[in-house]
Amino acid sequence: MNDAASAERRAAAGDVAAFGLLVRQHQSSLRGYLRRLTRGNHALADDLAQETFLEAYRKMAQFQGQGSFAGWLYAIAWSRFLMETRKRKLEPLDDADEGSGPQSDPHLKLDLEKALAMLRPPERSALTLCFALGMPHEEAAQVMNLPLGTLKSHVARGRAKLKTLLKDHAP
Amino acid sequence: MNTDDLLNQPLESVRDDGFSVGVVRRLCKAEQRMRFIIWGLLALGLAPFFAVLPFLDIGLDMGIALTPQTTQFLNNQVAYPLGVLVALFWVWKPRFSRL
Repeated sequence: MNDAASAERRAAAGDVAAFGLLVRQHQSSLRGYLRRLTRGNHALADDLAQETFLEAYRKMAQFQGQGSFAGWLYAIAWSRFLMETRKRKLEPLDDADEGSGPQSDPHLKLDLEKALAMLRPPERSALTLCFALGMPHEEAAQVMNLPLGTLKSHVARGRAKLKTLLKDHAP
Repeated sequence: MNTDDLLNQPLESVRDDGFSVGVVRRLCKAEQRMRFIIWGLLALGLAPFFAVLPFLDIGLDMGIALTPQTTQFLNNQVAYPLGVLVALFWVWKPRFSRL
């Protein structure tokens, strides 16, 4: 049994120190993912990451080892983010904000982060999970609790939008 | 660089800067608070029983009931051998202390 699996098992049994190891191991990627979701709001992303880890510890016994621990963690983070979005009304989850993208400032020079920030949260999440974090579509669909087809359409739509955004605003 | 290459770039590494320690500390505090709440509620729930039930009288009654039996047991079974042992120890005490 490797170190990570052993730490997961000990953490599930209530070992705080073992859970601390898991936090150290996953904090960077989880915070990076949440920073993308919150469009670069580092403070909010870190708050959400902290809540994610606390919830993960509480539910650790429910983690059966089916799928990766990281995937399970991202699923909690994604649902936390959605809850926060609804609570704070950070940004609409429907298509209402489409059109308020780069067209509002034609001189804006876009980088990837800025372009991603203009996508809808499910597209942003799907692209980050499947590309930057290298997750298979099936696992990403589980993380976001979506049917596989819906996830694939989020990926396709997000990628198409991103291409347009980056092409239109290339220096 | 095309869009897919850009997307495939790994997420920027985020320095820990005490984040993990903060999470573990919060976790310990939450655990402590939970333990305090559970024990507090338990104590609160049991308090009326301690207040109402005559535990002292029960202890007294048990003592009164058990004492004759204990004494009788000691008289019949243990008292004589115990006395012999104490006497022997008293006699051999100087030898023990020299060892």
